[in-house]
Amino acid sequence: MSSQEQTQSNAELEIETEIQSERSDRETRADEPVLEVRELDVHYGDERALQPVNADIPEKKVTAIIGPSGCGKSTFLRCVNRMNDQIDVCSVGGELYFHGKNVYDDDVDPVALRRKIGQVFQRPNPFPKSIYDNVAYGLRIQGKTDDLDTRVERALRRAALWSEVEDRLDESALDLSGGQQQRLCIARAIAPDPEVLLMDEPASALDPIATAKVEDLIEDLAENYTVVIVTHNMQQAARISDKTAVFLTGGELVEFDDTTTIFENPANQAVEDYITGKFG
Amino acid sequence: MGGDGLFEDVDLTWVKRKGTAFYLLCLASSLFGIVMLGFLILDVLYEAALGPIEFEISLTTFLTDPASRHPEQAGYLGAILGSVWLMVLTVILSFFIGVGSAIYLEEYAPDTRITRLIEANLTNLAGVPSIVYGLLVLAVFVNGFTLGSILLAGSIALALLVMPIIIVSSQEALRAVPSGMRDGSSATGATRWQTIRHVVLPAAIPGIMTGTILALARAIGETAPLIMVGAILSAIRLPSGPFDSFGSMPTQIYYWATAPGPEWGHLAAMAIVVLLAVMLSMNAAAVLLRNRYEKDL
Amino acid sequence: MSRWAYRAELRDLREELLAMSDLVCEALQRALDSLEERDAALARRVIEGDDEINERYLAIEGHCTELIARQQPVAGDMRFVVATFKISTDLERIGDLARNLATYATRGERHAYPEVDAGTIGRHVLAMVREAVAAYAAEDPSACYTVAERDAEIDRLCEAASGIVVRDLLAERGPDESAESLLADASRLFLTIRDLERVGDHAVNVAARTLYMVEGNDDLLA
Repeated sequence: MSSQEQTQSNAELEIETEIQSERSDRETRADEPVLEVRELDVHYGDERALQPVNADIPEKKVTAIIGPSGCGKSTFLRCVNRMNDQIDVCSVGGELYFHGKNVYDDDVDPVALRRKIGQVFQRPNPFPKSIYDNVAYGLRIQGKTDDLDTRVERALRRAALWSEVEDRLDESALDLSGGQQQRLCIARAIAPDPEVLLMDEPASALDPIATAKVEDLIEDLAENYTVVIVTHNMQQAARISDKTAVFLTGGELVEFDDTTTIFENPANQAVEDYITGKFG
Repeated sequence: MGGDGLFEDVDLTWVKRKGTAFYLLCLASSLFGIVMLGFLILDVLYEAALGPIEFEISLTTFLTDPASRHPEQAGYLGAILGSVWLMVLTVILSFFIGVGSAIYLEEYAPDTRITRLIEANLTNLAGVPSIVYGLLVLAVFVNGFTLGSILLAGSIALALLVMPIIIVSSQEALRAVPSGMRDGSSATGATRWQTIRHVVLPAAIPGIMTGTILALARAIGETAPLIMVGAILSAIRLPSGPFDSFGSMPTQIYYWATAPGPEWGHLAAMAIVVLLAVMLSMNAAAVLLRNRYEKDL
Repeated sequence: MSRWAYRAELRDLREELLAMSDLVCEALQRALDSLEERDAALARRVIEGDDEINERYLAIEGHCTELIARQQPVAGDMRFVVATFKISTDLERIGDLARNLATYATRGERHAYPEVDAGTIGRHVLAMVREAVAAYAAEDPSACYTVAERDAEIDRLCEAASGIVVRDLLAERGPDESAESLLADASRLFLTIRDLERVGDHAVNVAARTLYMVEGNDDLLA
């Protein structure tokens, strides 16, 4: 066994033990919502983008948000890590509790919040740097620079990209394919170990094979992270999520339930019409 | 054959002729500029070549000595060094202020009426005739602060001249950085400064450099503001530093071109060749820089 | 209303199932008539008609799988397709049972047990099948429960009828009757009763799937 293989298997071992310890963690605080949304609403200037939303997002599960274009699903997602703060005309009302702390309290710094709640975007947005530097980016700016190599490798392994890039970490991230770029962005987001991972239509710019890889990955990520994913692909939501929230036109959260219930027997007729394609 | 006569009802003859005519018209228009430039360069090269051949002007003297009263002893080095000094000081004076204000306007400034007023004025400043900058520096720095007609004053005039161009082109370069990258950075928990420092600036710097070089290529050929500030037209000695009096390449050309006597004209032509070579290589550097980095974004 | 081609396909599927159910009910009706009137010709038509029912069943199965593969129905549509798929299987089985009943009618010249009223049981189960299909067509959940409740009555009637045959088999052993023909008659009657009871069970299945389809409610699914 070469020394390189040795370090590889060590890293894998490390991941295993870590996942196990995290699992036992999870059992002790099972089913406690990590995010509690209370009467959260959003205005863009005078226009209401989101009706008051109430939802409990469970820990270490995949929660999907579906709905037609312009229904406020991305707006809602951007409320969670306060990315809406950067839009001047956007005002957010209500409360959003993260582990019981309202993230819209004055003493919460959005930069600190985003170090615990990562995000992956619709279009892959790697930086024009090397693959390694992309993944190390969050770690470096957050000052987590000890064991940088190990952390980068672990993030790339979790993002199911390691085997494809391990021998070209110094090459530009922009030379990767679209699907690889998106998995790189996922690796970049999870490298600093956030608790929650927000994903805004992460597979909509990808081909079916790359989409399948990202979907597999999302299911794996739910072992360690709370995943909230916005998608306009209902089958995708049905495939990968545990919970599904349905937003309809006007920015209203119409139904929020177990994914099987939403797709087998939704309570709301408008939701039924939307997911069966009678509407929109 | 089944396809015979399939397209008989489609008559494209006239449409195609018009298309060809338009194509030729456009080709002629673009050739016009190239042909003119070609004539200009050939003429200058010819005149310049006559200098050493017919009037026995020494190329060595031309490139290693300052100007002189006697054409056979006249060199261009004083003017070249003056221009080099000017460019170095101009870059120092304008680059950081220019890029700084571009970053402020693009990354920090809220979208208010004042911001928009500043941006509109920057665009206007870029269109102000260069002699006006010369007048301004003459009034404020040369006479007002009694700096005198020194090299620093000249570079202040040129810096003011190129600053709006640098700001506007830096803004373009910053705007060309996809917003997804900024989002990606701030969603990773970076502060605004970290985002600018580690993501936005590295991505924008080739564009900023390109804009700056093009602005300098314009500044190096400017004559009017330097004359206004009081540059010595014929650089008969090498400039010793920012506080010395100074000449420059374009003012030297102006001096030689207007001097009586056939030799001076050829000296001017030779000087033009050098100035053109410098400008063209600056432009080439800008284009190379752009081509090398633009595919990355 | 979007996805109109898909909605049309769903409507077509429903029409196909109702058409198949008409065939099955008719076959069952004729099988019962042939039993009652010992009409061998009618019985043969029922037996031959079963192929048509099987073909319809296979066509519906094909359309269901195609809809699932190409349209990925969810929610109410998904329940409709799944229920229709399962109901078509029940109807096909009822068709098979009608064929069985017709087969019994072609055999046996005589009627050994006049006190066993297979005709009444038959009318009951036929009515159940019709009601179940009507509930499907009308998407009526309460009718589904009614069908399910009627099954208890059928089971009671069938049990009583079986009891009569068993008792007769033990008590009556006339000297003129050979044990073999007696056994053949008795077993044929047993099979008739059992098949009728099964038709009732399938009718309940149809009702149960219909209830699931309409309300997403799996109460009646045993």
